[in-house]
Amino acid sequence: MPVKTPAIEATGLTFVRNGEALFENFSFSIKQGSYVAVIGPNGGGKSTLLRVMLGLLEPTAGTVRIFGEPCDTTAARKRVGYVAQRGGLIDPSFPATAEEVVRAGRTQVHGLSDGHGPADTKAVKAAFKATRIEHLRDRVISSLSGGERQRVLLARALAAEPDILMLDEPIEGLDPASREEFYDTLRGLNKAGKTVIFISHDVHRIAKEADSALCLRHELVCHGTKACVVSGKGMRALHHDHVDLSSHHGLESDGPIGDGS
Amino acid sequence: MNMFALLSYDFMRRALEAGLVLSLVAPTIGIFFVVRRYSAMADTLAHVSLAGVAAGLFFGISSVWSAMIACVVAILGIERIREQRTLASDTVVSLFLFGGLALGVVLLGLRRSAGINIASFLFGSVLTVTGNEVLQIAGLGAAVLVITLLLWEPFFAVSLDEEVAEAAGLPVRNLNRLLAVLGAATIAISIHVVGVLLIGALMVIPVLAAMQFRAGFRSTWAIAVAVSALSTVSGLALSYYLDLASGATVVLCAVALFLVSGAAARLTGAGTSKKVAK
Repeated sequence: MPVKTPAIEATGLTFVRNGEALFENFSFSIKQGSYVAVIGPNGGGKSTLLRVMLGLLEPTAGTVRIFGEPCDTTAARKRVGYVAQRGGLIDPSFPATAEEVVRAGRTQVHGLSDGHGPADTKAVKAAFKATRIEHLRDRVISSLSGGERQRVLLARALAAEPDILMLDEPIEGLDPASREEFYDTLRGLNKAGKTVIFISHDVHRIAKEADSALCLRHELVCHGTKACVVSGKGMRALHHDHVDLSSHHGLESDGPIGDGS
Repeated sequence: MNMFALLSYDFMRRALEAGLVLSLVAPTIGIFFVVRRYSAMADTLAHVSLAGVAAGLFFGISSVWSAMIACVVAILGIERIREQRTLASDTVVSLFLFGGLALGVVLLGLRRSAGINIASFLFGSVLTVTGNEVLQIAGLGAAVLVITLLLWEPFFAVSLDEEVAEAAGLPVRNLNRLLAVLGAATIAISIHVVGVLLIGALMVIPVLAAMQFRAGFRSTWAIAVAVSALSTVSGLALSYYLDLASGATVVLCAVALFLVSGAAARLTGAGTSKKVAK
């Protein structure tokens, strides 16, 4: 049976900013169709890692491949949908309907050319359906609640029909009901085959959703099964400064992330 | 007030033609400047254009083209200094605003013996626009309009969220530069209509008026174009009958329509937005 190309494969990643290493020389791979939680304390390098994987930041050393292609190439970018951390903070006065925002996601497919063909309309419709916000199509985004707005932004990412979804703390600031709706939507998308990579501070809640975890604190504290995070040394390393992180480096799993819980 | 009587005058017909081209083009570019909070940039380019006009008079180049060249040079200069990150963005913009205005006034002053009226560049003189200038305004205006409409979706995506647009593979930096150049072209064709001191107003006020209705992006744009056209026609007519400065009257009509739009939006309930939970 042929081995599937990993959705993401990072090798020897190092990122140095102002002389300080945000993370140093770590490698991991993420299987297609997995649901990976990226967790760690503030300033631990989670968002930077995501931006490196998106090709927005160039690593000081190392490479990231998306389905075998360098992450900053057009071919790789077309396969990744991104929901940004500050996505819920789009200027409330921005004059746009949910439909216009979601349709903007098609620029990922078309680049600078026109994106108003039947395939585009179909993809936009499917994105609304997958996020269960068809009733919001004609609403202006300024009239939406935080939870509704986040699902519109998720629909925008889905409109590009990506294989991977990368989300940077998308539920931050949402009320509990909106969070659960968001998790529920993502669970459905993952079951439908999307690879989900989700940065979250809510370690215990995301552990219920994800099938594996990347645990970061300037280095890869642990990676692999989520058990390493919620019950093992990884959690202690995240929350207690006195723990010797070097003893946990890459301990729990050397296999590809997404092998199971 | 009889508009048809006004149209019997060639100078008034040309003024209306130039004004209507501008009323279509200015909010089309203006909406992207407003949502991206580039209003200060529009103002700066407008002031820099005065230096371009003055240089054009020296070298015998059409003021439309010389103003545009000056704006493009300023855009590149602003970006160069911004990239060096030694000065804050707003101070760099101010540097070009004051520098451009001062250079323009000095250069025009040097040519005062040639009978140049500085006020006509500062505040516009649409009633003296020539047939050739109308053609230039229409040609450049059409180019700006076509390019903007062709790149509407990428411009919208970048305006909504630069980072997401970049992650999606859009050439964000080049799109920003192109938008600034299109803004420069819009300013260049506006000089005769409202003058450099009021150009920014035509790009911004109709859009602000339309945004009060809290409609979608395309609808906001359509309302802004309507407000802009109505301001131009009513402003030109009023300036003729009441013997007022044409450019300033057009801008005052836009301000009046901004107030009317706000009231209409409140009356129709379009301007009210429920408090949203985060």
